Formats: sequence, structure tokens, C-alpha cells
Amino acid sequence: MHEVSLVRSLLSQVLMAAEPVPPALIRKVLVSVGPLTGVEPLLVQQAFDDQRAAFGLDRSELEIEATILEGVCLDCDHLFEIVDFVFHCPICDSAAIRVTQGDGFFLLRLEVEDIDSTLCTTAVHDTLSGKPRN
Amino acid sequence: MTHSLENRGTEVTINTRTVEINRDVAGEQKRDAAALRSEFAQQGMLVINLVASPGAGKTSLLESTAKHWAGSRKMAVLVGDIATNRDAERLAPYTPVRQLTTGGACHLELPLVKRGLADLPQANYEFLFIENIGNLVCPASHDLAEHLRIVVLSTTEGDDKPGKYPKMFRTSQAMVISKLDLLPYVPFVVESAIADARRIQGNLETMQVSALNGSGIADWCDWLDGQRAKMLRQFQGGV
Repeated sequence: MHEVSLVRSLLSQVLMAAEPVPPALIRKVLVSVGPLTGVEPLLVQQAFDDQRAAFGLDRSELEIEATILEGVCLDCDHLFEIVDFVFHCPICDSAAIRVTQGDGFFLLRLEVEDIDSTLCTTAVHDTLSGKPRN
Repeated sequence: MTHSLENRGTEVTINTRTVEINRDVAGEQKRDAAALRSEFAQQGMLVINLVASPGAGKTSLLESTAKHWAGSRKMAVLVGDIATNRDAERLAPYTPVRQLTTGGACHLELPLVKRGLADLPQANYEFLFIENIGNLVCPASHDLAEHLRIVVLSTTEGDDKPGKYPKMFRTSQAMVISKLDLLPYVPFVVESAIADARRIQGNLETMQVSALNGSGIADWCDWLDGQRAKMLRQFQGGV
């Protein structure tokens, strides 16, 4: 269950990456998870749902993009999908394989809302961006 | 995408835009670990992250290692467990050791290792062993600034484990098959385990040991000496 600590780190990075956009305007968080990432997407989703309120991201949704596991043969440069975790080149059978994707947990992008403040009263802007009123 | 809503007769426009980031969520921890790994190498200390299932024989291997070297190498151990100080108490007669108790967490993380290291008696250690929590899943995802990740696979676990836990074996540089003395009594084929592991990690070094009767321990210790010498050549320009 290291997904919880990973997701807490993700949420902190979301806030930093979005600045100066306030958390309440972050609508969607898109991440990628690969077969060799070492995390279970279902548990990532659950951890996100459990933790997001603590980061002010109550209105954000998580979208997980699954990526394939891919590697390049260091002997013949063949780029291929690694199936069933067999890290051997299908062309020359070399075991010298560098993984090119599918082993990381990446924060890809955010979808954020921009409120057109020229048409918006301060009170409306604060409400939409989640800013508490005095 | 544009949404609009009415408020007291004024139209408020909300545009949705995409912010591209493309950041490795564990990137900062990886950079911290890489910097610390480099510091360890500069100090001449080879750091080994020992990973395995619970009960695979990690502590027994470290006990045998410390006894074999018998003070001829400066080694220390940080031993991780969810609860109790049992492993540290067991190793204390043979080597400086600190217990890292996670209180429920299924793996060690770098801040805990740093704290444990600061708590060890200060010495110019040649070898620092980090005995991770018994678990073949989560520890595979956490860089503890080690130079070597070594997975211990015991003959009692079955020879089918590498394929079932690919990330652990993919991210390890060596596999130690332990409890070799039990081989006549269990359905474990050493060659099958090695072949399975090498489908995942073609360059995996393999060793076979029995902490109980001492077989393979001298070879394991010699291999560690060789790995430290290699590290010194790589990081200190042959010093």
C-alpha cells in the first residue's frame, strides 16, 4: 500500500505545478501508470479519492492513462513492446534491454478552469475559485 | 472548452485549459537518492539494499557475513521491520546495527534510512547493509541510495517467484538463493529460478548460500569485496 504515500506526493506536486491557479479550479489530474511502475491503478484511484480533500482538491478528478511496457535493445536498437515481462530482444535475443516507457508514475497534465475576471465580480470569482469569504 | 453561468444578470465565462507537466512523481526522491549514493561512494562505503520475502533469510545472511568477516571489514546494518527490535538485537553482537521500525509501512524510504545512518556510531564504514521490510512488492519502488539491490530468494519459497514479482527482480543486480541446505527436502530447482529471473534481468548475478552450514558465504563476501572495489574504481577514479 505504498500508493498512499505516492499519491500524497502527487497531490503536493499538482498544487505546485498549478500555481497560481487555486486548487478549487483544478478539474482534472492526468497521470500515467505502466506495467512496471509497481503501483496498482485501482489503489491509486482509491488513495486519490481519499486524500484529495486534504489538499483542497475536492472538485478534482483523476484520470489514469495506462501505458505499455516498451524497451530498446542496446545491441540492435530494436524498439519493442515487452510482453509478459520477458526482457529479451525478439530480433537478436539480447538481454541488454533499456526500458523506454512503462516503468514510471508520471504527472502528465492538468485541466484547470480560467474564470474571466473582467466579467466577474469579486464575490463570484472567490466562490468559483473556492476562496473562503470573510 | 467553455462553460458559462448566469449570476445576477452578468455572464461569467469559465474556460478550461490544459497545463502540460510531464513530471516523474518520484523524480525528486530519485535525485535525492542519486546525490546521496554519490556521497556514499566518495566516502568509500558500498551500500546494499537487501530485499526479500519475510523469512527468506536476510538477517541470517547478514549474521553469517558479519561472522565471516569477523571485524576485518567495517560494516554496519540498518534493519527494517514493521515492529520489534528482534533483528537488531540478533545482529548487535556481531556488527553496529540500528533498527528502523516503520510502525506499519510496508517498505523503507530514504528519510528513515538517513535517520538510522545518523544514529549509527560514526565510523568509516566500508559496507552499509540496509535490510528492507520483508516484501517483494513495495520496496522495489523505493530508491534508498543503494549501490546494489540484492534480492534473497529462499528455496522454501518456490522457484517460480521471479516471474511473479518482475519489478523486484528487474531492479536488482544480484540474486542470492538462500537455505540451500533445505534443497533436498523442497521442490525447488535452482536452474529454473535462475532462468526465470534472467528472463527479467539478463545480467543478474546469482549466488547460492546456506547461512546454516556456511556454504557459499565466503564466495558471497568475496563478491561483495569485488563490488566495492568496482565502485571505488568507478566513483573515485581508481583510488
